[in-house]
Amino acid sequence: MKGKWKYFRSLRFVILVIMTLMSITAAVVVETTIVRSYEDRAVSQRTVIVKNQSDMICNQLAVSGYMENPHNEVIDSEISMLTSIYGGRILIVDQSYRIIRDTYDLDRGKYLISQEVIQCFRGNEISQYDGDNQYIEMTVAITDPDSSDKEVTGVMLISVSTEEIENSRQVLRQKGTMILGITVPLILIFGFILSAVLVSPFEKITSSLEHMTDGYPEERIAVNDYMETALISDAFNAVLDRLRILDESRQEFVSNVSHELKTPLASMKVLADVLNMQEDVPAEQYREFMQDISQEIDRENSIITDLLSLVKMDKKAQDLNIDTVNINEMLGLILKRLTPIAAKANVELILDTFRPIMAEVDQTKLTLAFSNLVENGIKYNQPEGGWVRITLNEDNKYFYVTVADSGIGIPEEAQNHIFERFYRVDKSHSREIGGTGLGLAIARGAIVMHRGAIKVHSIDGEGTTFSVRIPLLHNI
Amino acid sequence: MKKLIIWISCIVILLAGLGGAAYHLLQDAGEEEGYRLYFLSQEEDQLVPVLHEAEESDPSALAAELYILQQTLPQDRQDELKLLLPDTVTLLNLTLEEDQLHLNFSSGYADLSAEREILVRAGMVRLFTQIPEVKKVQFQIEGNPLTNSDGVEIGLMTAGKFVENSGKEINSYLKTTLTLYFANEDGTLLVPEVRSVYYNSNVPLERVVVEQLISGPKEEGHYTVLPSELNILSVTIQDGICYVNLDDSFVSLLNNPSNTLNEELAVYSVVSSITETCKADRIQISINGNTNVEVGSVDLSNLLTLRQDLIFHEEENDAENETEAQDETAMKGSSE
Repeated sequence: MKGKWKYFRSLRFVILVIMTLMSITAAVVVETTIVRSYEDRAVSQRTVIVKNQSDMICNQLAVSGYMENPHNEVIDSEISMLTSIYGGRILIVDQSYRIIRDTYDLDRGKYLISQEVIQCFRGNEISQYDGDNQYIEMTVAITDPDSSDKEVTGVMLISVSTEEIENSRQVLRQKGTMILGITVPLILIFGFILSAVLVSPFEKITSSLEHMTDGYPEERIAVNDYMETALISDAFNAVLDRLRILDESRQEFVSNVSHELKTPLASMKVLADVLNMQEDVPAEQYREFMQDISQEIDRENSIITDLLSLVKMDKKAQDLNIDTVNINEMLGLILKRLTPIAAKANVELILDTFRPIMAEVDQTKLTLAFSNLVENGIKYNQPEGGWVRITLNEDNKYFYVTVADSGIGIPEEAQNHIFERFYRVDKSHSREIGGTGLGLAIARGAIVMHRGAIKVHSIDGEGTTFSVRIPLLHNI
Repeated sequence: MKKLIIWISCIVILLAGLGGAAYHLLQDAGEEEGYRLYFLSQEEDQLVPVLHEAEESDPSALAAELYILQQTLPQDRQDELKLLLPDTVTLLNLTLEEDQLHLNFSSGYADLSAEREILVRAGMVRLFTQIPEVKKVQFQIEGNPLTNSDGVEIGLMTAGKFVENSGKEINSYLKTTLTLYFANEDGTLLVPEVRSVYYNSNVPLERVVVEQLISGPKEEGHYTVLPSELNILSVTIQDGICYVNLDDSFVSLLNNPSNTLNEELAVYSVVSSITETCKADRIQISINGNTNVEVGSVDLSNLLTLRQDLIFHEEENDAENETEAQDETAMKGSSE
């Protein structure tokens, strides 16, 4: 069923239907208008001609005294000529409403009491077209043009058949219909072809997309036939570029991960090999080496743990476990947990809060994020010690957390990269400082999942400030 | 689904159109009963008939009743109609003699405008000729017959004397050329007269032929063959036989001792004219539907055919067309 109706739902079919309907409607309207205006024109033309002729004859009638003595060969022949040319009938009525001349010879001597004649004697000449019975009727008053009082001495009633106008109208209509009959299939064929041409750019897009799915991701789409298709192409190319970047960063990530995972393994291998190659290794050396190996295992383990949490962050926002959380308490707990490490590094932790703030967040993920930020502040502080200050604030939509330290700072050119995975500002010091290079990436991931934002401001050698903004209400 | 709805609405519109047309056809078939009273339109330029019942059955009494009914406007159309007769004119009396009704009006009638007068006359004639017994109406003013502006007596009028709307049927008029046979000067032979006439296509051509014969010849030297008072009851053609049914005035007028018309020529002018023009070669003439009648020497109980010997042939007097004349004589022989 669905496949059968597929064509009828296509843009091509819609174009075909619209085109056909519009052109047929236009054609029908034009045809009807032409036929109708022909009729109007023909009728009015005939009316004018007959009227002129009749006026002339009426003047002659008045001048020649035909009304008193209805015998005048010249006028009779003019009258019969007029009636035979236009297929009409002329009745001449005298003042006592008696028909003194009838070109059909049917009603002579009878009395004509039709409304038109009476009106004409009153001075209202008429000329009207009766479309139903197909005739033009007009009355012309016979008045002596020389007399001053304009007395109506008789009326000429002219009825002209418009049957032949009707006939030619019919012929015109038939021809029009015939032309329509020929045009409609032509329009259909034309519409069929044109709709195919019109829709072809879209088909081009589809085929190049299919081509791409088949495995040529380097290609770009360029269908510039219409502005719309060009826009689609551009949008699609942007998506493709983004996918390509993602793909690249994934590859880079994988190589970074492998590299990071390999480093501890290489150390362990070296240590183990040294032990294996030497004979009679003293027990102290063994212990020392095994301690080193154990450290390397711990490092490996922490990298893997970070990787796992990072992977979790990459999942979608639906995985958030939203609760209404007191942010003040949450930050307090984090600081409490980190106090021993801070004390060891001689770093003072300060928490500035103004009022209790409740927000809808995923506590676990945010805790991880802020822990990472504070931990970084402790780790990258001055060797002789310093401070880390956490400030919490809010407006009616967001709450803001800033984590400022008095540490070594981040060089300006590195500031754009610090949220990348495994990025290290100073590769040489990374070993002694420790960490996996994933902390900030994890923190950023957690914040972005909450539709928040994180910014860094740092002066090399003086300290770093991370500003975090997170909405108070969680809207999916 | 959308398309289905469009289709359905198309069909519904079509059906509605057909239904409307059918309804229109049904509407046209109405019948009217009662008598028409005639009033004037507000503009006083036309007669407006209004149907009304009348109780009397005696013709004179019915005429009087109709006249009285005519003097009151119908209740529901007071504003659009006017009385036909103005206040200044009253009907003094009406008398019925055979099929003629004489109306005697007061002297105010003479002062009516030509326009009002003709409408009054037409309305009155139409009103009273609805009575089956009344065929003709005559007008009098204070007992004197009505005359026209030239002082000529107007005389008896029938409803057919007044016509309206001549144009409406213009497309049903046909023009044809008839060959009619009239008497020659000495009333012994029939002479052809070719004439073009217009006639209403609702009237059969054979009837037009007889009507034209009654109306008389138009060319000089041709003489009338049928009495002008003759009434036609019916003229029809069936299977090549033309049945002409005339009223008894045909016999009474022709058999009247004062008649100057030739009976044989009268009958054969009808026969020749019809055979010449219409698709019939035998004619059956009946009087009031009765064929067992003799008119002069002609027995109408037989089917009549063309008689060439009664027709005047120019060739007989024209030496130049001798051969043609011979042909004609040969034909004459065969037809007898």
